[in-house]
Order: sequence, then C-alpha cells, then structure tokens
Amino acid sequence: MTAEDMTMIPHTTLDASAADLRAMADKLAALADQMRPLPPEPEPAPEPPLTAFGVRFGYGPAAATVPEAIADVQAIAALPPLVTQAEAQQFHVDYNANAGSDTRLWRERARDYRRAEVRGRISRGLTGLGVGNRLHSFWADHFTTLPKNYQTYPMQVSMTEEAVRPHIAGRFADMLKAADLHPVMMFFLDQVASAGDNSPFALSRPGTGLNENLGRELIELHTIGVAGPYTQDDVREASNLLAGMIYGAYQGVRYDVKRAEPGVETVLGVEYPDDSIAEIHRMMDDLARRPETARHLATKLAVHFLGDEPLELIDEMAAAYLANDTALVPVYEVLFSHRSWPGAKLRKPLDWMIAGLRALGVTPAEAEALPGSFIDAFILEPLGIMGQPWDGQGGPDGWPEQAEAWLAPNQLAARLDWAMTAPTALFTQLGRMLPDPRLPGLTDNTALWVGRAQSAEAGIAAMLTSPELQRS
Amino acid sequence: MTDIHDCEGGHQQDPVRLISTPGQRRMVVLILRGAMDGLDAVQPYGDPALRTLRSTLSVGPQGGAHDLDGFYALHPKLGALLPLWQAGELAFAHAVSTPYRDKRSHFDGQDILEAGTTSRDRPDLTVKSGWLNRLAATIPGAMEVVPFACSTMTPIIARSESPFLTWTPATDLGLSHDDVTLMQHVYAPDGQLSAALDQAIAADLLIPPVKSGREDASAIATHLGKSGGIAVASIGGWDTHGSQAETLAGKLPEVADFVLTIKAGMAPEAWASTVICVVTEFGRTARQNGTGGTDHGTGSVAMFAGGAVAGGKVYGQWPGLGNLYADRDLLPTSDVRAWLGAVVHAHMGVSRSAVEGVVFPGVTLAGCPV
Repeated sequence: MTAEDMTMIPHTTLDASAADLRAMADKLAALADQMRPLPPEPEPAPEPPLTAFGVRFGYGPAAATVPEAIADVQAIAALPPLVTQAEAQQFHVDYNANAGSDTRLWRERARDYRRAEVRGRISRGLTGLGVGNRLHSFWADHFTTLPKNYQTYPMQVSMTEEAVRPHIAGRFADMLKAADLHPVMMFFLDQVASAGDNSPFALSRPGTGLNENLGRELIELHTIGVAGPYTQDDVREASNLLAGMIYGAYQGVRYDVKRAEPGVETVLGVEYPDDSIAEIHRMMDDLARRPETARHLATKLAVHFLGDEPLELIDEMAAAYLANDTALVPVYEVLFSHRSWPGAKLRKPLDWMIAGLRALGVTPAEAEALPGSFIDAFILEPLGIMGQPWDGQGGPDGWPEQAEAWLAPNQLAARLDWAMTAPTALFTQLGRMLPDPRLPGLTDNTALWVGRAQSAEAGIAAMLTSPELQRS
Repeated sequence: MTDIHDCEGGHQQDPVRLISTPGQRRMVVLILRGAMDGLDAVQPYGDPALRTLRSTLSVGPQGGAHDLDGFYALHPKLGALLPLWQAGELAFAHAVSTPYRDKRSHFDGQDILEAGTTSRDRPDLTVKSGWLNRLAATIPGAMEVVPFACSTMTPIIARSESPFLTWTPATDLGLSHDDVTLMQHVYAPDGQLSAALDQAIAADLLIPPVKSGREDASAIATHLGKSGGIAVASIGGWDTHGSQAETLAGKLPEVADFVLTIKAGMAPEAWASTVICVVTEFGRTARQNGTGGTDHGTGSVAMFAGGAVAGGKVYGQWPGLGNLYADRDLLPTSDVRAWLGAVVHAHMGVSRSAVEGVVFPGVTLAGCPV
C-alpha cells in the first residue's frame, strides 16, 4: 500500500458514516485486486568480463584486483612533481622582470610548462592500469583552477602536480589544505585581493575588504556541497577566517595578520578564535571531516566513474571515508569492489584521446617525446574543439558529467576528425606503421565494419570512435 | 590533412565561415592571405613616381590596365569586374593598412587584421577574440551557421571566448560517403552516438572540404541568397616576391571570379543588399625588386563589391609615391579597419559606438563606401 492509499482510509472508523465505510470497502477491494503476484525477477545481468575493470576505471580493457588497482593509484601519487611551487614562483618573478622585453619568448616558455603537463597526463594514462591517472584527473577537476595569466602557467601545473596528485592516495583533508591555499587557487578565487573588512589593511585602504569567493567554494564546491546545511553567514565567516592568506610572486604564500579580520569566526557552529594558518587548517580539517563532505565526495566519485548515483554504494563509500579520517584509499576500495555497473559512460575528450592512444599501442616514452608542435596541433587544439580546452573549464565547478554536454554535432565531428588525422600524423612522427585496427575486444559489429573500411585511416577512425572506445 | 602548419606565407585556404543575421543585409569578407600588391591591382598610373619605381609591373593603361578615373587603372586581369564598376557596384579604398607596422610578418599582419585590434599583444583583447565574433555579438539574433567545411586551424577572425564558441569549426574531415556510411553502421547499436552522428551529417559537417574560391563563393551565394548574414572566406598565394606578373595573372582572376560567382548565385534583390569586402594583411614594396616581384610592405588597397556599394569610385587619400613609408612602402593614409567598420555601421546597421568601441576598438570610421 502506498502512502497515498493510506490517506484515503479514514484514521478511525468509529464515527465513520455508512458512505465512508462503503468507500473504504471499495478501496480495500481495489487494493486486493492490485495485489497480483509480482512478475518474476529479471535475470541478473551477466557478470562483465574481468577486463571490464580497466575500461571502467582506466583507459581500456585490463583485469585487476582491488589491491592491484590501489597500488596503481599509489604509484601515480608517488611520482615526483613536474614542477615545484618554488620553481613556479621563480618563473613568476622572472616573467615579471623580463617578459616586457620579449613577451613572445616568455609566453612560449609558459606554454612549455602546460605542454609538459599534457605529456605527463597522457604518458601516465598509458602506464599501468591508468586508474591512478583517472583519479588524478578527477581530483584536479574537483579543485578546478584556471591560470589567469602567463606568469602563473607553471603555478597551475604545480597545483595539480603538488597540491593534488600526492594526496590522491592520502587523506582528503590534506589535499583540501594544499589545494585551497595554493597560489593558483588564491589567484583564481580572488583570495589575493581579500582582507577582513575590519582589518588594519582594509581600514587604511578605502575600497579594499573581504572577498568571499574562496570561502564560498571551499564550502559549496570543495567540501560539504551546495545541498549542505550552511548559510551565507558560514560563507562570510569562513572568508573572514581565510582573510590574511595571501600570495605574491616575491614573498610567496604567507599569512599577513594585518589582513586578518579581528574577532572569533564561527563556521558551521565551530568557533575559530585565532588568526593564524593553523586555525585555517583546523577549519579545513573540520570541514573535510563532516558527513556532508563524505557524501558529496562519494556521490561525485560514483557519478564520475559509474555514471549513476547508487545510493547504497554512496552510503558505503561515505562511511569508509568517515571511519578512516578522510583517507581516500578505503573509499576507492568500496568503489572498485562494486561490480553492478550501470550503462557505460561517454568518455570526456582527454580520456577518450588517451584511451585511443592506448588502443593504438603508443608507449609512455613515445608520449613523453612528442614535440610541442604535435601537442599543440593534435592535443590542445582539438581538445578545445571537442569542448574540453585545457585549463578551460567554464568555472570552478569543473567539467560536466552528462554525455549531452560532449555530443554536439561539431564536437562529435571533431572526434571523427581527430580519429581520421591524428593517428597518421602521430605514427609518421614516431616512424612506425599504423597498427591493425581490428583489436581484440571490439564488438562483433564494430569488428565487422572496421574490417570493411576502405582505407587504413578510415578503419583506425572507425575503431577509435566506436562505442567501445568512446564509452567507459 | 597532412600538415596543419602548412599556412606559411598565406597559402592556407580557410574554410568559409557563416553567421546568419536577422534582416536582409549581407556582408562577405574575402581575405587575401600573403599580402596582395595593391599598387598592381589598382595602379595609380597618374602618379609620375610609379614609373620610376616600377619598370615591368603596374604599367597602367599602356600595359592593358583598365582606366578607372584618369588616375587609377584596374589590373588587366581584373577586367571581368569592369561591368560592376560601370554599374556603380565596385569601389576601392587605396593606401590602407592595419595599424601593424615595420616587422611585416604575414602571421602578425593576418592576426591583427582578423583580431581587429591595434596590436596582437593587447592584454584586454587577446587574439582569441576575432572582430567578426565581436560583430556577431553586437547583432541581436545573430546565429552561427555550421560551416560546411572546417579546419582544426581556426582563423582568429572567428575565434572568440563567447558566445560563438560553438562556431569554432570542427574539422577538415575528408570523409567519403562510404566512410560516413561505415560510421553509421559502427554506431548503429548505440542510440546516443547514432543520434549525434546523424546530427553531424545533417549539419553537413562530414562532407569533404570546399577547395576552390569559386566553390566557396557558390556556397556563400547559396546560404546568403536565402537570408541576411555574414560570411568570411580567404584566398591564399599573394606573396609575390618573384615573377609577380605571372602570379597575379593567375590569382587576380580568382578574385573576380569569386565576386561574380556570388553575384550569379543570388537573386538580384539579394545582390542589391550585399557588400563584399576584399582585404589583405598589408601591401608590398613600392619598388619592384630584382626578381620581378615585390617584398613585404605596408599600404595596400581594399575592394568593395556588391549591389549595396556606392561604387564607381576610388576612396581614400592618395599620399603620393614620392612620400614613401620608411622610404619603401606605400604610405597608409587610412586604417583598413575604418573601412570595414564603415560597412559594418552603414550597411549592417551596427551603431557607430559599438563599431568604434567593440568591433574595432579605437578606430574612427572612415568615409563610407556603401
């Protein structure tokens, strides 16, 4: 009986009229009529093949146990950073000092850092299971930042390489502190312009004051989520506590007490009396440990990898997160153990390119050696047309998850274009023959039509853009 | 596509771009990539210095050029356009250039022409923001028309952060009909991908690219013949360092053909509301060089053709060839963007303030060729 049916029945029959009783009898008869035997349970879907694990969580077919997948994540987390924050800060200083005399040269140097990051993300995607690289991309997107100028291009690389990646197999609380107080995040979300309204800094400079951008996204996007139980006051108080955190090319990241808002800040019911980095860290730890944060992150992971929101799994992932003080590996263990996958997800452009390069047998070393002109022409430029320009998310909320966002006609045509042209250009570059596109693991339908292609390029393109390669 | 960097010096031919706009006004921009020699296309034979600077080039009516007004003569190979001149449907603006000076790089010059800005390093107007897109953004109801042929090299003229991001052309897809059929079979089991593929096919995104200027022109005539809008195309190959006479004898008829193909492909009413603007990134040296050609210069000529043109006139202030820029180039006396801006304002109906503030920031509109 549904809740609606219940309301049809008077709560008591004591003072019910004869008409009420008749109505109730009719209702009960109707309900009895509905209580036919349930249709038989549908046959459980056949277990996916073991290699489906790699398709779902990596970039292509690969069987893996949960510990093997965790080891892959840990291996990616342990790699040294491509750029350190110190190096990026030095570049910022050097750029400011020198770029005026040769802007083009310095912009090109800045772009080289981006190209190095692209090579790294691709080559790691071609290494091992690819699971760690997928998670790196996921968390980098969770903490989306966009460099606002050329001088901070290397800093943007440091963000994903130093603030995010080392923590993908660690605790979320640590990633949160590193990411939200990273120079690029402070630029992107205007923390560098913020000072408490009643701070000595703001009081002596009319027109300056608090900027809520970072405080808001810390709560709304990075931790408890927009559906969480916070108010505008919490955003304001978090921003007040953050006031004082500052980055400058010459002095680096520091806490400037003259920018701090005096007094006690209260965020989600917790009081933060001190003005210090330690107090800011304490707030971030508290936010990371909240059950809403656990649920928000678990849901995002499930939607990203499974394309669905299986409630039981999310409960289980959130519980693992909370039971392990925001450690992420126990969360992944739950996610990787889940085998009842819903329909396949469309790969986003970069993931699809990496899956394609994997299918073509490109090695990590070959990807590392790609010249900048190739990266520009066959990775960065087409990524933009496919709708995923590098560091070009529309805002701090990152890339959309739904397939419709990636299947506009010109975006699909761009995928076909890449599949037709990039492999030939790439293998010419590598000095190798194009591989046979009739890979094992294709569906019978795809294999049939790939085999009937009238040119090698068309066969490769059909394989690369087949549903098997476009979906995970 | 074998080498997408193969655009050195202007041999690149970009795909046609189209924006439909409400109403019946039509504007076509043809970019001549590689720096067309304006002194040869429209020869100032009335300037006595011309003969001393050039011995075999720009010979004027004596060499078969068509006298326009007693001072200028049209290159012999543009003769097919004379009927338009006589009908008042053809005009020129001479001694024009972008604000770009001195380095004379094709790439910078084309970038600045397409960005519509004063320099390529203006932080507020990056080269990503082409003037065409800024123009489209100022016309309410302007809509992207999916281009029929595309390249992964997006000309800056069409680049923009918004709102025409999806106008970015997708591809240089040389797919055959068999290839497209193959993809339909591969996608058959996947409803979502099938639907997306069908849309791409319906939008003509997958057919082979248009190759010649005439094909571009005929496609433009087809699209703009139906409704108002803006189209951009290009013809490369104008970098005539040597054997200029032979090269231009082949290239200039392509320009005439482009214009006449558009006219022929439209109803007279559509042609009556059309302005075709032909521009190049910069001009060439006033002096002929030792190889029968000319080198990178500054001032050149712009051409305007169409039923809406106030033609039969060469606009612009003639600086005199005795007064060369840097002692080598035709001295520009007006900004080519000011003429394009005048068309945008007077013909396309965009307000003067939007033209001078948004489309071509910092420009002051020139006299009006329409």
